[in-house]
Amino acid sequence: MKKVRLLLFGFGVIGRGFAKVLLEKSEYIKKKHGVELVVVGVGEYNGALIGDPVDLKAAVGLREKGQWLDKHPQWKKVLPKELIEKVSADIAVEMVPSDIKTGEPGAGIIEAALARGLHVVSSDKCALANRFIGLRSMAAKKDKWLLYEASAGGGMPLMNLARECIQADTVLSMEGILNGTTNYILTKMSKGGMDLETALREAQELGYAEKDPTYDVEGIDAAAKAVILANDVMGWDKKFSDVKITGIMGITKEAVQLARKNGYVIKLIAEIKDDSLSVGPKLIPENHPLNIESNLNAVMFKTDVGRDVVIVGRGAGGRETQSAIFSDVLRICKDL
Amino acid sequence: MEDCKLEIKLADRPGELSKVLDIIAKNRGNLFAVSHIREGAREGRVPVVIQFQAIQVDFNSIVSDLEKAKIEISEKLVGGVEEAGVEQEFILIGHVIDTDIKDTIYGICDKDVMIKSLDISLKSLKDPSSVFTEISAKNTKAMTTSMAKLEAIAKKKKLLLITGINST
Repeated sequence: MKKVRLLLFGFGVIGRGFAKVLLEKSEYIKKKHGVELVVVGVGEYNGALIGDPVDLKAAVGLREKGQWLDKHPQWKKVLPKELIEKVSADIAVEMVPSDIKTGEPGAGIIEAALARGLHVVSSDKCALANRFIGLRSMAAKKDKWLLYEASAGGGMPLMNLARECIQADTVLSMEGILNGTTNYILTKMSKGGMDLETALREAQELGYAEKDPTYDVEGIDAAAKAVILANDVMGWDKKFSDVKITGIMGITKEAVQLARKNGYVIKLIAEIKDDSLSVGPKLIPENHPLNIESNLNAVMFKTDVGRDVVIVGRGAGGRETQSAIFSDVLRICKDL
Repeated sequence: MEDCKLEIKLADRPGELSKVLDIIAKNRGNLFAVSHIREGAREGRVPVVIQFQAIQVDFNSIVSDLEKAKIEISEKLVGGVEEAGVEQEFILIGHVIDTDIKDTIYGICDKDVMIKSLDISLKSLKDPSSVFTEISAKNTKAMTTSMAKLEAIAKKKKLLLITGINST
């Protein structure tokens, strides 16, 4: 049985999700893929768990009781970059929430891991949207994998689909819903007759929106994901500042109802086409494949051979996102 | 694949035709005939009819690339049918009435672009209004020009413009 050692970075919703799915599926993974995934380190901003293996069950238990990892018996005062230096591993799984303006601390962790000769899997859209080209070329120079399916589209296989399933096609454009929070809000305004403030409050109560929903409602989250998709799938060289962004805060209940009366819905759509990137509200015919409801995401690829390909799925969520992260980790394991 | 025909007016100098053919080839057009209409030459420009096969999306790219290369297209046909008029819908949100809706409408219409329908929703006089509009244009170029004007007007009047997903 091949043993693959992992360093995890970040133990928030996504990091804990990884630990839980690994606890649940490690036997299945061994049986199906012939790989034993062993977590040998969990890095947080102020310290780390180190062990072979790290007791993930205890770590998850602590966080679910609202306690920090410093209560864990394997806790050490070791910062993320020291953890990379100190502990031998094969793959770094970076799941840190980074700053959209700088991409840090995630980008720095990815760089340090690649420099140390680790393969990297990342779910960190902010790190990638800011430093995509630099990180990708560093991975290429080091001859290491850098995979990031979870960073754009969560549980939807978008980049893997483009890479593996439509290999003869030229992707001409991509457009879609890349943010579940705004889709939930706009669905409630269209179907439930709510105004934006009420729908946003409901999304917050259900945990679909953060207390500070700025990244979602201003289109920032969707824009970061659009940059990653444009650079990866289309092979462009775009930065976050290249995206023309309009949020949903100006949309009134009356406008949504007017659209509906005329056979349309309003959705926050990311458009990747004609060498330009935009995120903004768009009118969608009610029978259009991108008219999906609730907090779902959907992306339509337009290609020269297969024509239109549409993927619908969960764009976020601690568990759903693991589908993409594990897919990347297991892809790398095939080469180890 | 559709049968496509373009009539263009080319400057009568070497290299002009090859520029056009390169654009068609780059966009996967399958060329089968090129005819110069010498007797139609005017002011140093010669009409040229080019026939090829392409899928609609590639035909659109060919037209767009030719326009970017500043090549005048006088006629375009796909599947033996002249390019139909195009339609577009949009919503404006904000003080659409207060910022002179008539001026907004006149600003985007001309001989090739007209308003098909207008639907207004107004909660109260002091609240922002919403206006759903359908416009039609003679061709894609006229629509693109009109939508660019609309975007500029919306920005100037601080109105939120929501266009259709495949707007020009």
